[in-house]
Amino acid sequence: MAGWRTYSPVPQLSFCDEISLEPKEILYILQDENEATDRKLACLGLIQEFPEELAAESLHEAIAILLSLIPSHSDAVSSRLSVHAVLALTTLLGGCCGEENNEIQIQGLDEFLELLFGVVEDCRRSKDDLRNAALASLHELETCFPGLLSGKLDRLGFAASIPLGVDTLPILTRTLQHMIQKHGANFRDYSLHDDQPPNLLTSMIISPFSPPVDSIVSSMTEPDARELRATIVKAIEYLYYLPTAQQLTTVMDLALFVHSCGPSIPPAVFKPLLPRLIASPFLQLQESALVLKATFGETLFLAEDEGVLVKRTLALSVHPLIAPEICLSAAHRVLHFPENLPLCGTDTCHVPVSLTTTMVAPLFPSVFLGCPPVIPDAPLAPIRQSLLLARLHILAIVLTENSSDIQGPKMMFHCLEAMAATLQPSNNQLVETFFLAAELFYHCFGDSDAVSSNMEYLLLGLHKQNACWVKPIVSFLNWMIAEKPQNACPLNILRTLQNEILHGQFLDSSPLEGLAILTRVAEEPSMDQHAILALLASSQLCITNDWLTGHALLAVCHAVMVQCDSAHLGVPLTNLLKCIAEEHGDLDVQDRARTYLALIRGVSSKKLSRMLSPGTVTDAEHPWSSPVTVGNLSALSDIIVLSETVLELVADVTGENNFGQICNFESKDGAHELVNIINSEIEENRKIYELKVQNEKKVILCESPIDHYDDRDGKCDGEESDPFRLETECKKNDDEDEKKKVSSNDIQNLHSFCIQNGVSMDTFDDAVAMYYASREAGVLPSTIMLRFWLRYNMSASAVPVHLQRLCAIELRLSAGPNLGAISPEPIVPYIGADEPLGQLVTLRVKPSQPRPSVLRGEALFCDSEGRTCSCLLPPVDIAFCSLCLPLPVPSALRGAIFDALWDEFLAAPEEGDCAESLFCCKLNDTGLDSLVNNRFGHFVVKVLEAQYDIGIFLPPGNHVLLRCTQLGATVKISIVTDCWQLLPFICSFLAESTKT
Amino acid sequence: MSIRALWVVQQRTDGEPELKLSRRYPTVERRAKILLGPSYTPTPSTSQLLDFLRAGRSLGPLVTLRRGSWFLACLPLARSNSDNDAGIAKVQALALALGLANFLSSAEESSASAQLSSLPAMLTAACPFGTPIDTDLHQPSLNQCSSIGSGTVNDRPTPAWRPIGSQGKAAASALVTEWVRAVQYGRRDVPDAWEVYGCISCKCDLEGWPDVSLNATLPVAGVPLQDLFVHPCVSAVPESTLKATCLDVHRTGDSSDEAFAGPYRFQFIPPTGTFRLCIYTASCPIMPVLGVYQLDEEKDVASQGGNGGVSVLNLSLCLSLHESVRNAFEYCTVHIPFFNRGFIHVKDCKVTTGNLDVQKEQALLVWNVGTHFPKSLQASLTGKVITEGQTEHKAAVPSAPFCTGLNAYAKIIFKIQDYTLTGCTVDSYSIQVQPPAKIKVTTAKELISEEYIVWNCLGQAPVAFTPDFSSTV
Repeated sequence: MAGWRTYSPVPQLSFCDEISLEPKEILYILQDENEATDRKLACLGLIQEFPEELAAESLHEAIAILLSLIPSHSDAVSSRLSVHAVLALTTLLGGCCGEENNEIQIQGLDEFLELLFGVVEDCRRSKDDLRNAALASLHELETCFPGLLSGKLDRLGFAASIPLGVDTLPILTRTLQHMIQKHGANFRDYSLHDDQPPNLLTSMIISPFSPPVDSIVSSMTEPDARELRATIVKAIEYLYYLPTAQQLTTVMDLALFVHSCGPSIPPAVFKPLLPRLIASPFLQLQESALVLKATFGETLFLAEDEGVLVKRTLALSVHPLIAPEICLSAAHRVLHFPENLPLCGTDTCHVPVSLTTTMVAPLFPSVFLGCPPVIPDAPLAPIRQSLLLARLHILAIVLTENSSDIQGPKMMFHCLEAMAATLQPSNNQLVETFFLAAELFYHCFGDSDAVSSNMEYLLLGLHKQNACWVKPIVSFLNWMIAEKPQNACPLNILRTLQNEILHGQFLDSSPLEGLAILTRVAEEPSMDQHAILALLASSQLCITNDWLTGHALLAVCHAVMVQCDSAHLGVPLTNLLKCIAEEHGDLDVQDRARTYLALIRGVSSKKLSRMLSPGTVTDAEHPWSSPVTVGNLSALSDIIVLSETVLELVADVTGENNFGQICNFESKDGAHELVNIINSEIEENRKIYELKVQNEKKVILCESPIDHYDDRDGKCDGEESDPFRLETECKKNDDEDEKKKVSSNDIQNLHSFCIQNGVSMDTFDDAVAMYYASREAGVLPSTIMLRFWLRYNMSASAVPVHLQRLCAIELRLSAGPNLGAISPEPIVPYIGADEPLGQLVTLRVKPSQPRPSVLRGEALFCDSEGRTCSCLLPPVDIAFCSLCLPLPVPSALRGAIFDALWDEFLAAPEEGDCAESLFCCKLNDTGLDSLVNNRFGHFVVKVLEAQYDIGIFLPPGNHVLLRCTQLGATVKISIVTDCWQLLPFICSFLAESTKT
Repeated sequence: MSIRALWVVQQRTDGEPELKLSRRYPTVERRAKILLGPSYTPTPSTSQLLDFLRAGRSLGPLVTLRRGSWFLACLPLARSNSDNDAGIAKVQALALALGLANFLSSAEESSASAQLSSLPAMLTAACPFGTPIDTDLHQPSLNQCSSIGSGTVNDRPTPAWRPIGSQGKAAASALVTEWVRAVQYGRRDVPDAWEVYGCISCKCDLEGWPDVSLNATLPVAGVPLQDLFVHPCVSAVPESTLKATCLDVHRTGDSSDEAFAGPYRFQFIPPTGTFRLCIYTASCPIMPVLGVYQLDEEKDVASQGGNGGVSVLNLSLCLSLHESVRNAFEYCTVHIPFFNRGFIHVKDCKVTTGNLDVQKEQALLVWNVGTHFPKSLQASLTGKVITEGQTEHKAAVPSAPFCTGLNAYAKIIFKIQDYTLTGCTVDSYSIQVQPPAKIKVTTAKELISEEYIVWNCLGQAPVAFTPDFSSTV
């Protein structure tokens, strides 16, 4: 086994100088005659503290060895060894021998008990250490094994009856008590050997006041009773000679014994003892009196006796010459006074009914008690604080119970007022004591309106006196609200404090304290939080550089957010947070403000409240939070699947973009319009572009592409670079070797494109070569932006109440295998039923093949109750035209590219993917112009007389080239493509367009 | 009624607690397991205990006590912290902790380690198994290792507090010591407050185990003793002496009518050495020395901004000795501190009796009144005190945030021999010893001031609320 406990080399009980020893080693040392006594003593000391492992390993052997160390005759040195051997063996037996190994226990005990009795009965030993150890061991063994000494009762009785044997009295009384509990009044007929081991230990260990009633037999013969009474009277008389600690245990045993004997021995036998017990300031003797009071009640204590006991206990608690710990103990004894039998076992405090308000007057704090102290700056020791509070507790209970006395609460209040007047910011103990006293006062009298208004007056006075009291006041208000949730007093105080801040200069002089109050106010839904938020948004606090103030401001915001119904505060709260995020000088504060902003935009107020509240379950106990049932809690964590379709995605047909273009998606009425989709792309790319400027500081990128968009001729200069840009972003991190090339593709306009690639603007061959190289390398744009409106698919009036405002809407969409995954999953912060248009959603798809598809999916969102719901979205078609982009080069180069591609596709072998087709329809001149301008505006690369060249790029790498030629009343549209599978779609689109 | 474990911890000079000694009691622990059943938790480890000390948190039903740098903790056998049934165990735990604290704090700093090293053996004798046998660790029975034959068979038991009879010249002494503490405001709206309490200390060098009795008497106009508590060695106390408490005074307004006025008779077997036979309080109607303290700042000087915080204070302190008080002091000194004002100088200061000592750097004025008041029973101190302010020098007095401006006090320190305010005296002829022996008897009495404060009546002072029960009686 592992190394045993450690012990100190000298027989001390300290853990200092630890040495590790195995149990076997211990026993070896104890047996070794040549071993030093000190080392043996150390081993014995070790057994006295940690006998468990020795008992587990070698109990038999250990008992035998220890018994051998206790000689019947011993000199001074061996006596020291034998003393510790007695103590060690007792510990071993009492601490490790339970009922499971009774045999061992009895075998070892008999011999040991004989040895002990031999020592105790040895007349030559008086006040001898070995005798003391033997007495303590016998008492302990009887305590551990109740009834163990019942067979030795006569020997004990005899020993205790002579003056020399007064110290055996505790053993005798303990044995008597155990015997009578086990066998009733006929206990004398029993001995241990003819009975089972006792099992009353549990009831005997701690509570002397609840004997097993059914075991008590009242029948006792008169001579027996007389003899027993004489023994008890003698024992009570001899108690005086015992140490006070033993007096208490013996009185307890005696009291229980006499109580169990019933009428055979009247409780009056204790009467002569009472004055001595009551007269003593010693803890144990005072407690002995209470034990008798608790055991016998009125049969021993007349009303007058009880009055004296109560008064003296109370007097002890205020005595200037008594240690404060004893005073405190006395005060607690009054608070838990054993009024009636049986003893009240509850935790509630109750004082003797005989106490009146006038009697408890000395308990009022005085300058000598320490509160207020004689000299205010003197520290108040914690024990003094506890003592003062205990006295106030007694006072408060007495004054409460004497409710007819209206003076009581008044006095307590004046007392509090006096304490408040002497508070010093530097004296924390005093401040703490005051507020604890205030708690006591409010706890006892807070239901009274007068007391509440007094409290209000007192706290507001303190607040005015010094701003440093704000924090303890706020803590105290929290406590008040928790203590008596129905009481309006703390809310009134908060309201007053709020008004003072709103209309005064407090926030300027003490910003942190003011914000602490406002934070607490903001936690109360009944308070005017609009005013707070407005005040803060307009205050100078938002633009300071102070981290502490910033966080105090944010604490106010947090408090508002924690509220369940903070939705109506969204606007002022957002304003305040925006103000902090933009104006505050501390970056950390700004960041946190932004986080809060994101939270309130993205999460429903109820859900936010749940998220921010500390401890979900305990919140139910907060008096100021809405009641949350377990059912509600589980609902908050589940997903509710709505059977109805609440939301839908609708293609962006409003034209609400910067360029006034017609949307490129299929509209609800089914009309297909092929238009430039660049608008949305430009929006998107601008962000990337600007980010690029910030990150890479490239001079070449200084010109914003959006500024180069030329709306007048329906072309945008910036659009050329956008596809490259997207691809650049995708490829940037993939291949380091292509960095230069990628970088070269990072062009935003024609000028830069040419400079970057070293091509002349007059010769397009190089540009074409560059385009081909890009296509070969697969770095042409591959992403398409799709724009939808997310909106309710029912009228506002039909929307259920809890779905009127949805938050954190997550769209989980799929566009089929051709268009691939939509990433990242779009999240819409919120949508309200009062927004007919809904919220614009931009999806980014990366087609693997340019084919029309259907968008399917579901929406996950939080309803206004904070629950997470899911509903299916109706499918939306993604039309072919949605997948079309202009040729991804600057517009000036498109013609050259168009020509090169046209020639390439026509020259391609027939078995390849390239194909040529022809579409004819009847259209006049204006019809062709109209068709091209309305449907192909941004795709036009070249305009000749009665001929338009239109180049369409379809990510990831396909092209459709159209040459529209007016031939009289007919328009011939030649179609060339590098993907013949696209021909049905373009033809279909053309047929649709020309039809309308 | 037992203790599961105890710890003795000392706070080091760096503030960290250090375990000096610990003791666990396996037999009690076994009972704890049976009693507590499933709710049983092992005794806290040393690190848990030290963490608790550092954080000041509560740790179950642990009974803790602090005395100076010592921290004592005892874990009683109790179900929980609020286990009322475990009251006896808690009382025993507290008593043992107090005994340990008294034992450790009684040693001089130099002998503290010796005291500590003797503690384990003493603890083994006082509490070998967790149930205290004796919690007074100063008891000689715990301190000496007597051998066979030292006990004497007697006709009555030997008291625990006097295991062996002392040898030497027979003598008995009794000293009545009374303390008075007072706070005087010199204002009509605030009543002054004062308290008188005392004790009778005895020392009996007598052979064997004698019964001693003595009487404490009061003169005709004496003040009855209240809240009388006696040493456990007192075997018999008349019940009438126990009834008077400070609670009665508030009820009747005057306790003198019915109160027991002595003699107070005590019978006891004395412990060896000096011990407090009894302690008491008294509702004395007079304060021995009445003070009126006036401290005012000269406005002309105070209003000058460029004088570096220098201020001139007009000082006046008048003391009146009550006519009934013995005008023979062992010492009578008045300390007048000037907080938060820097160094001080005095100007034109006069005292009608005694002499004045200016402790410039401590910003303290010490008026040594002497051993007698003049025949008029009045003494006064007047003059000006010039303070330097805080700008240049910081006075070597502790900071006192309250005592700014005119908030100031004077402290009177005195001792009068052969006098008590209550008049309580131990009658030397009343000291009797049984069996009769010729002994040398000494009796004495004294009155000592304790926290005797006179506040400047022109400033503010801490005032306690004094309940008025006249309307409820």
